[in-house]
Amino acid sequence: MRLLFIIITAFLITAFLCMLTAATLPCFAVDVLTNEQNDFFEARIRPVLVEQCYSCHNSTKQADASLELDHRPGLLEGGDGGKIVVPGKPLESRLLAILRHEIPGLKMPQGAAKLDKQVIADFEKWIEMGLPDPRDRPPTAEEIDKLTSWEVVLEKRKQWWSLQPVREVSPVSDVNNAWSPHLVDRFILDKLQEKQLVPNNPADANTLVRRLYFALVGLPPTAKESNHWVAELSRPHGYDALVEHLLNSPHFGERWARHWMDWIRYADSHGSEGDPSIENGWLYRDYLIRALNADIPYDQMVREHMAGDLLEPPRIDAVQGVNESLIATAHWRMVFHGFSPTDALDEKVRFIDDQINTFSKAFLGLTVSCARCHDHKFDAISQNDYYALFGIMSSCRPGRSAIETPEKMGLNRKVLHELKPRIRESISGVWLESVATLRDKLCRDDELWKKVDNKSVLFPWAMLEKDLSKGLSFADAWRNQSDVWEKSRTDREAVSRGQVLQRWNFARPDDLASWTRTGVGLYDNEPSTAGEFVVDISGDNALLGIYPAGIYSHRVSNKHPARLTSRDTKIDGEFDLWLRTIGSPLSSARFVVHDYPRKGVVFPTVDCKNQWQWQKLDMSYWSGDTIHVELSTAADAPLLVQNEPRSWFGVREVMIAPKGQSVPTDSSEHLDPWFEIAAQSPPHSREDAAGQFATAVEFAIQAWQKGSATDQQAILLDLCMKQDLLPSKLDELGDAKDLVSEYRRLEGEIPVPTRVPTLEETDSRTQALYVRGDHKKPGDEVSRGFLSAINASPYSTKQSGRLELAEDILRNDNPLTRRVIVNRLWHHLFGRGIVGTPDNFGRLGHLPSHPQLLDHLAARFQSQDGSLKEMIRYLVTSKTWQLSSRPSSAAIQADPDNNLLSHSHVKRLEAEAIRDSLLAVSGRLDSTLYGKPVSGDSNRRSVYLRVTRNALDPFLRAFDFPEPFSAVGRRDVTNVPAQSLTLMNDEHIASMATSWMTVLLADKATADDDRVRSMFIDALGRTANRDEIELARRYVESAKQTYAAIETQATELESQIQNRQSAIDQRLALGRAQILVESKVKPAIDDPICPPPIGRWDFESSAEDIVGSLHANLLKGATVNAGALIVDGKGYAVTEPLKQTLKEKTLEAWLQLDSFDQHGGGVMSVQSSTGGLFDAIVFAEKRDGQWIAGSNNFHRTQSFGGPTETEAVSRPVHIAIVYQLHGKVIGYRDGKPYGEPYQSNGPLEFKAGETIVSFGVRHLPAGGNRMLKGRILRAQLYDRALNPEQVIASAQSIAQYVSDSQILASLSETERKQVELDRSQVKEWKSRLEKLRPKNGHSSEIMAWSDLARAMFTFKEFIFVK
Amino acid sequence: MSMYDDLNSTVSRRRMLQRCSNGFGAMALASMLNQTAIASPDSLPVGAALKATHHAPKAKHVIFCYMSGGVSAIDSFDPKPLLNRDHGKPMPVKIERTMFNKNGLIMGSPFEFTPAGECGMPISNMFPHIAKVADELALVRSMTSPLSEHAQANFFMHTGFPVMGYPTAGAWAAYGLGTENQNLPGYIVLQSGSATAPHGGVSLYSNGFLPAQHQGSIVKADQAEAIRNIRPQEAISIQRRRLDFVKQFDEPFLKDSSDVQIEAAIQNYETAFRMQSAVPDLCDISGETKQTLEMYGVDSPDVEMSAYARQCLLARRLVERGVRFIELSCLTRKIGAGNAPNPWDQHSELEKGHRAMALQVDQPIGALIQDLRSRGLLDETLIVWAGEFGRTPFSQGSNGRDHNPYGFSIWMAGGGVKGGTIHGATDELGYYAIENKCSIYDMWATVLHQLGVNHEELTYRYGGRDFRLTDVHGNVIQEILDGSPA
Repeated sequence: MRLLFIIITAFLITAFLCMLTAATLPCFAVDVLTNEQNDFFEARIRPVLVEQCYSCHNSTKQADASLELDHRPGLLEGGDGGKIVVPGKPLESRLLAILRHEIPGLKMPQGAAKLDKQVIADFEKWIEMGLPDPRDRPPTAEEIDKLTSWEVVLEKRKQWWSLQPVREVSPVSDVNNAWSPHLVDRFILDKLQEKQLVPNNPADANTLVRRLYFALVGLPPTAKESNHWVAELSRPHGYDALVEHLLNSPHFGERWARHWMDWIRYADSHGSEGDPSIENGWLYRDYLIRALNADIPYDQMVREHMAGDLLEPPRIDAVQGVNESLIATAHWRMVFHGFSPTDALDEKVRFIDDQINTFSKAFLGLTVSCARCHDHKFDAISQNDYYALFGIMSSCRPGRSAIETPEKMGLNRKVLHELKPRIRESISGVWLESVATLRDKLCRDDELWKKVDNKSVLFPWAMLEKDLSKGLSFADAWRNQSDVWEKSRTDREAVSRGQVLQRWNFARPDDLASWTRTGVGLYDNEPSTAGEFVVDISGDNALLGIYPAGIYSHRVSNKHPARLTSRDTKIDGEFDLWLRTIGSPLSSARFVVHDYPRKGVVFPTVDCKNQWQWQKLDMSYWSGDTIHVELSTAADAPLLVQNEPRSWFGVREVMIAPKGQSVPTDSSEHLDPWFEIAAQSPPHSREDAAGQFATAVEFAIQAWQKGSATDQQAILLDLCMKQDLLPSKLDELGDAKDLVSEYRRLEGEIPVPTRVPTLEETDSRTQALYVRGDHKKPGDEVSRGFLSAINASPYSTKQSGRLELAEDILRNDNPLTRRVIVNRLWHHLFGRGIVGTPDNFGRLGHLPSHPQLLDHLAARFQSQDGSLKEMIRYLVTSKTWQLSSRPSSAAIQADPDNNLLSHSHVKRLEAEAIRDSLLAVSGRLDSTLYGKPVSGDSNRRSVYLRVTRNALDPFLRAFDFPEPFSAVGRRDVTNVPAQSLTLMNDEHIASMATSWMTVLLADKATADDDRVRSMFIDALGRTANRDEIELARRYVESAKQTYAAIETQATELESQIQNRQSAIDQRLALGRAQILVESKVKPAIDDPICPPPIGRWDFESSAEDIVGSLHANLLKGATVNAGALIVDGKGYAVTEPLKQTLKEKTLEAWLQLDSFDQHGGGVMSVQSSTGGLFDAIVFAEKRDGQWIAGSNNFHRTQSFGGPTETEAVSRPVHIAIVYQLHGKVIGYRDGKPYGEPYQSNGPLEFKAGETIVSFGVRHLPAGGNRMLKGRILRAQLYDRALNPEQVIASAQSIAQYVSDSQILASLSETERKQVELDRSQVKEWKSRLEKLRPKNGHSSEIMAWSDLARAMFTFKEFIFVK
Repeated sequence: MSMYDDLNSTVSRRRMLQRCSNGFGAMALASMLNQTAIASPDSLPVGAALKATHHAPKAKHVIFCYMSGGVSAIDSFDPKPLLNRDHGKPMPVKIERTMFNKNGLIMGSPFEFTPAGECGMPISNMFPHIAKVADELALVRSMTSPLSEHAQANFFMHTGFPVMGYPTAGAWAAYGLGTENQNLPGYIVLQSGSATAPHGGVSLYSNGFLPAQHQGSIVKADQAEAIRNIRPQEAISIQRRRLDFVKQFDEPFLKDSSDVQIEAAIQNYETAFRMQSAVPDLCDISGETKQTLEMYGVDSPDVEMSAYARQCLLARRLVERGVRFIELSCLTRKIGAGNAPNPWDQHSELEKGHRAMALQVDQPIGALIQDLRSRGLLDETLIVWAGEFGRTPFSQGSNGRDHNPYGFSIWMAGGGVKGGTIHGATDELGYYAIENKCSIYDMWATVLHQLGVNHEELTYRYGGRDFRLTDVHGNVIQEILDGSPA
């Protein structure tokens, strides 16, 4: 019916149109197409229809909006919205408006980029031509499938420029052209000449030096360097020498590592709730710096990034003895991890997507991640390709590996191994002697068994004795014990026969074979046999333990890393995981769901214990999901790292059993050797039984000596040794003592390994494609492999395939890899890539401005073994790179965006370079290389700042530091007010200006003009001209006057404040005295004995400093209420920075504790702004219940040895700590000396502007056991050491302390109003004063020059490089 | 030139002139063709990515009251009598995986519900003030989210994606529609007292891949330094003198390169300079009447309520100043598992915790709606009240509830929504949404719709595809909009 309708309609339309247009327009029946028309359709129209339209508008499967575009009648008929074309009438054809995206909501092709202008023009022409079209009938389903199949689409998409082979052609311009023979320049010149443009003049020497410094090392040249190199540049090869100099600078690596870190979304934490740290991730940053400085070939670096853990041989840094290749894999782990997801597979899919997204953009310039849910909309990437890569990544788990070389990690391992049998021989000899007395000892020495518990080897003996003492016959009494043992043995066997999903017995090599062992602690291929023992590396005992057969990480040393993981297991149903383990307390065991590495309520972990135990984990929550089992030492857990240098574990069995199945027990295995002897010839007396026990032990020793002990014998010996039935102390062990000492010495030489986050290879897996990206809808399985556009053959490796992936990225015929990297280099050097979208070489990326040049660079890069330095040298030695940035008027006209590079781009410095410049110019820069991440207030280069995903550095963020979640090859360069506000108002910037000027002004002899000159050189790398000097000088002059005037005003204001304040004080003192009289307390007029403090907080209604300006801010829920600062173990308060430097001092506080059961909470601290240095009143840190003068790492702390606090919960106490100038520290409680004063190596000098006072926290950062729980009623800080008399006076004042509100209430209405008025006046004056006067107390001269320095920091020339 | 310029994406002025001189005028043509018959769109301020709204907007501003931690729907806006009847009985349906896996028995609501307003919408007695404006509320009881974990659910709720890196709704709005006040950012996040960013951190307010000027600017409503570095640490005259001095050097530098980004950076200092007074002026509420302060609860002895009230009051002042998108932040009361980033998170002590949190926000939000109404601003301001998910009908432990993303309530008010509407429903235990299920995408599609934006048309090309706030989903919830059939 429908078909008929269409035919009729089509016929009618055609007929109608023919009639209508016959006179003026050609009309086509299908059989009358001319060759020309046919060619036009086939060449220009049909491919577009097929590629862009058929999949949604066809006559067989899908006709969105009832529109069929796969045959002419369908096209002419139109769809639900009516006709879309009118033959011969482009203006009436809606199709063109749709293609031009002029109709809201109707932009075709849907979800895709607008078609090229040329293509739309072709359609316009086609319509004009009357739509010549040979497609007279709808194609069949097969025909459509064939046309729209991925293979066909792929072939088309493979034609995209970036997938074409790299081809070298010569530039057109003459090699002998006057400008430059450099190939880069000739390619540039070719394009310029097309537009009749000429290259600009070269930049001047100052500009070039500055430009080179920033480009290559990211720092400004110092004045000396600038002067030197500017002069050098005028000599032959001077420029080349500077390039060499900078390429060889260690700061080159820092600069370029930061670019690389952008490509790979470097971060030090995982983000999300909790934002856990990526422990030791910074070693990867240092790896980059080292590799770039050493100019490791790019191919090698890419290989290391993909599969550095699998490379044979790896690249070793011989000096450090570390495996460099391995460190590179840490980037795989810098993914965002959600917090305790209830759908762990979803989370896994997300983090693999993050990995694929990042590496494919970084190294291939492709957005592979777009193909997660469907074939890529524009590029030659199918959904299959995505899951081929996904399979590679899902064959790996988060891991953690030691970076030391096998030699370094295996130091002394062989010798120690060999030493062990000798130790065993020696000990067993002593034991065999001692066992002779065991029978008698047991019969005679009641103390041996009187206090034993049921885990003791002598428990049956104790029970036997008990029964005998009750009057049972020996035979009955013995039978009781042998029955107990029989039953326990039956129970054990029942458990071992119980139904389980899986069971692994690590005595059996076959069971171990399917597990992955990581770390030198588990390098041996076989499990340990029974009788394995471990030498104790410290203390009185010779041995740590004698073990049954199983797996042990500490056979040689407990510094050895170890992690043991099972294969993946799907758990359908409700199961428990059982593990039989032993280990040091921070070693852990867990099941890992879909490789999710964090822990949480539904991701539980159990810690090992120092004795054998069965541990159970309920896995029923995860029924239907896939898990694996993981045992790990403290530092080897992939994410839950505990930085404990020594840690170990052992495991005998693991099983997955139905939930609630009977509990396996450890009991009485050790009794087997004894009771088995007794079972053969039952004892008749105590002596018999004791004799059999001794015999069992003796047999066990003999067997152990020969290396043939059973599990039971090993456990028996372990217990005998630990329960003093056999000598265990070194002093009792004869020769063994020396051997153990030797063992300990050699073991001590083994280094503590450094671990980095890595990947762990597991079973290679074939990934099921997720239909529409939905992980709950697995589709067909996809073989692992690379992008089929480049290499379509699947991987067959038993490893994950990352090695193959690396090789495919680096294939000679992979046209992307080298183009992408040289373009990245070009982008960072020239300010804009040849391809403007460095992370996207696909259809939605920019086209290359100079495709031939790009190919030339890619080919050259490859032929020079991927040397990054060589390429950078090549680029910066081109004339193009050295052009002046001032455009010619012709260039502005012909090429306003400077795509053709007739001149240099002006570049705004990156956030890091701005910060580093400020530090460098102000003389604060600490140019130490490498190391742990630091916070933003450090003076280290910005590349070392910690990248905490949830708390990125605000300064860097303001200047477009990228959020680390995807490859960023081209940073945003924005212009937001936060940037101006930072440079205008950030106190840090102001203080850098002062630092700089303090140095410059130290030389009084320098004339002002010269000082200005050197400032220009320092900050801008150029000499100031006469006008500039004059302007600057005048500015400083006028600023000096201003600051001097301010000083006068401020002094005046200060005295006003003082006067008014004393008026208030007087009025209040009267009221206070009145109240004290009424309450019969003897008034003490404002104590003449006590000097004024520099800070006083009464916490009456706020945390303001009522004598100075050290106002405290309440944080994390600290409150001020009822005249006290209330802290609850989380809240605390921090003041504004001190305006004076503090050396000798007194800290004083009145406080009440919430409870005595708290440890290490700080009452009041003076500290550096980050808490690195501090002096504090601390409760119960070193000893329970005692007050101490806390300090960083106890540097200035000793115990006062004062009495344990017993009152501070029920009433407020007064605590003061006096720090005398020569280091003596005296504590006071309620005005009386507390314990004994001591001599410290203090006092430390706390610097003005960098010191704060805190309350409720021992030191910053706030957290952990540094927090106090209690109420701080009042606190005072003095800049001097009070004497005992003064402390007493101050302490007593609390008794006479009358609150402000009490006093106010006692005043008359008029008086009160006056006080309030005066106070608000004082407050206003104070705030005026604060605004008026700089906080740092510098002279008006320094202030004026610093003002100029700040101005220079805000010069655009400071942050833009020409 | 607008105060915020993305030097990458803004078409350079030179290039613009070039284009015009070549006679393309493509932009003018495009905007002419955008004039469709649906409704006449509004022109937008300079700097907006859209040339005009897609249709006539109902709202110009959004106030997003984010109830971080997850408010229990069944204790607030979705009464379920069956819960109280079957209190203590086991759940009759399968329990989905929960965060803490401590699933107890059915737990009745400790709150009473009273019909409010002329519409008779039942509202829990924890919200007496919001109940007074019930006739303004369009309630959606059938919200769903795919995520039951705070950080990811917060990201999802803000950006449509469960991880960091994507633009947040406020950034999309500011990007698409620009801002009317050139001295204030277009997207402002208010905080006061103990309020902090929800789990996930400040990336929840990120511009993602959109130009940076659209990121949320945190304004600390009760602090002297309301915006980082907004306070000059010296006399303003000194600063002015310095800026004037700097200009004398910047201008020749600009001339030397005639680079548009340098010109923009010079302008930027002037904007920043003006912001230094615009922000304190915004935060200075001394001109508000005592009556207003009382109505909001600014003078409340309850510290949290007072601080939240200050945010609500500033929200109104921001609306008056033309700011596009304002997000409010709850303060912490550490009850149950509730903490500063997730104060509504009562895994235990649900009643106590929800009462305390409701006390904090109820009066201020109620006052905000009334105040906007009485000033004639409610019509142009869309208020969105939502948490990242609801809470389970069964207990966790003895008296808490775990996360429930399968069915929960949000509401909107003002901005052209149909007050007094209830849309969608959960099952009779309030566990799953069963009627007219709505997604977070639908919620944002609706918000954008009210702002005059077709959510499918506000896109940004990044990393190989065109991104939207609603990803590839979202339907406008027509039923809660004015003009839809009753």
